Amino acid sequence: MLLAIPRYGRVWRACLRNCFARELEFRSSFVLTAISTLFSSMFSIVLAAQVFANVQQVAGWDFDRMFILTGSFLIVRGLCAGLCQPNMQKLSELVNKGELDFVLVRPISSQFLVSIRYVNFGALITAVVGVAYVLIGLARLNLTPGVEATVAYGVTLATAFVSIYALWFMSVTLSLWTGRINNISSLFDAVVIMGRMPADVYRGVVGVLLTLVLPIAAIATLPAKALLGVLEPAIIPYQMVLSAALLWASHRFWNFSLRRYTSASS
Amino acid sequence: MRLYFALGRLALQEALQYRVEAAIWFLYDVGPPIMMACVWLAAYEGQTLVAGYTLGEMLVYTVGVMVLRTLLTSHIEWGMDWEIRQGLLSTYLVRPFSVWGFWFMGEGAWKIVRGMLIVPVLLLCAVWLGPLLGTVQLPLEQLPLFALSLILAYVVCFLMKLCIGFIGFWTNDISGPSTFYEVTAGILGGVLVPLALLPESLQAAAPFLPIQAVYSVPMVLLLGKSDGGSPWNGLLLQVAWIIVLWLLGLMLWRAGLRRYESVGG
Repeated sequence: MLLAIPRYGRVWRACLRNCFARELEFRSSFVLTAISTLFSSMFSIVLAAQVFANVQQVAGWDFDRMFILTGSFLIVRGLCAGLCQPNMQKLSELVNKGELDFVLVRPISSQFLVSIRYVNFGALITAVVGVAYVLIGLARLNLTPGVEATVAYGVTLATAFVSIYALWFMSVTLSLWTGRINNISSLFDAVVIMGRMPADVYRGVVGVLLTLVLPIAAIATLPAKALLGVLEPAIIPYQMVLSAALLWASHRFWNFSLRRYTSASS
Repeated sequence: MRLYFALGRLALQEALQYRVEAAIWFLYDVGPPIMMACVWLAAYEGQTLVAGYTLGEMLVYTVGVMVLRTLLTSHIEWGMDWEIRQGLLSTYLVRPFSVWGFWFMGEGAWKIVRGMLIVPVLLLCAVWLGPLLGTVQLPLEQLPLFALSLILAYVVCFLMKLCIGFIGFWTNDISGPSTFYEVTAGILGGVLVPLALLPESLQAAAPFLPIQAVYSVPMVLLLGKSDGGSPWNGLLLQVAWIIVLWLLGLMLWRAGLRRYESVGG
């Protein structure tokens, strides 16, 4: 298993090179995507500004802290949009057109290949804007996080990304069961966007659904709390176990679902 | 007219066939307003008024916008972009009907399916927020004007998206202009929060954009928040935007068709 890691690394590097070359070929499209991504990443903070211009605090969050939450949301969302979204979209196309055969016959994990094949470099700019917002938030709060808070922040961001990838991948794997649903890759993304507000506002049944059933809180609220030093320490190992379990479940579900794949040949 | 009803029936059959797709897109319409309802429930714990809105009024606005997003927001631009790029537009141009009318009827059919989806969500909102929504006294005398403003808002939105779709004649991809529209609508169109929450300078700029005529005008009429102005002002603004967008659309359509090329097989 460990011996295969360098080989997988080489495959990933080759895919990255290929995608980068493709971006350079369609330069105007890349610039347009980058500009529109930059513009849309402003929306979350402008929305927060509209609310907090009229309200002092919402569920314990003020505008300065919202910079950190919004920044964390954009980092995770940018990574998902750049690294996951193009692959999820392509995966449902591969299944619908019966082209998954070309992936399955290759001597490499099919889940790995369909998950890393494409990268949207233009969308990654969202994550850069997110980092800027986090830094602005820290400056506004005059806060310098210690090593412990920084590590906790990195770990919660990573677990958020892995959890979202796993759930997203499982939702797209459903295309092996459901037949042709063109926008199935958007199913999970439609829920993820609700993570741009603090998870503390989701209460009652909606709260249970969006924090315990779906990891909306894990996307931005937990990382932001970790950086602010107010996160319950026990949550971090829980998130690590949860994301690992979801990743394992996505792999099992993929292998199980592949049995239903019938290709599209005559 | 019978021809267009027939086209509408065909489009409805197609929309029903792709009902799962419609349900997934529908999540994008209902998710953000539900998020905002949760935000407002938490925000009003420390105060009774936000920008002149009580909690009940804010929730009526939020739930109302959710319904408007579902029933009024047209998404024709993506299909138009695809049809222009792939040359499929040619198959409509040679047929004996107006292409605009064809798109209008097709969009209406998708709205009927979305309308079916919003009913259970509204019932859940009534159970969840009912006591708070019930505290709002709606100006019943303005309901006919509100109904009229909904029809005008639908036409404004359709024409606006038509103009965005026509950009496809000049570019390979309309995602840039479309994102620009989405963000502008989100900030200056009252799509998620009332325009009263905007700084005064941005509030003053909003009437110069057609987006306000789609969401904000009907909701302000429903809540009776015309700020002393005549309720007819909003309707006049909508009619003005219909005329402007119609003329702009005609101009883009004619210029675009002159550029349009498709490769036959």
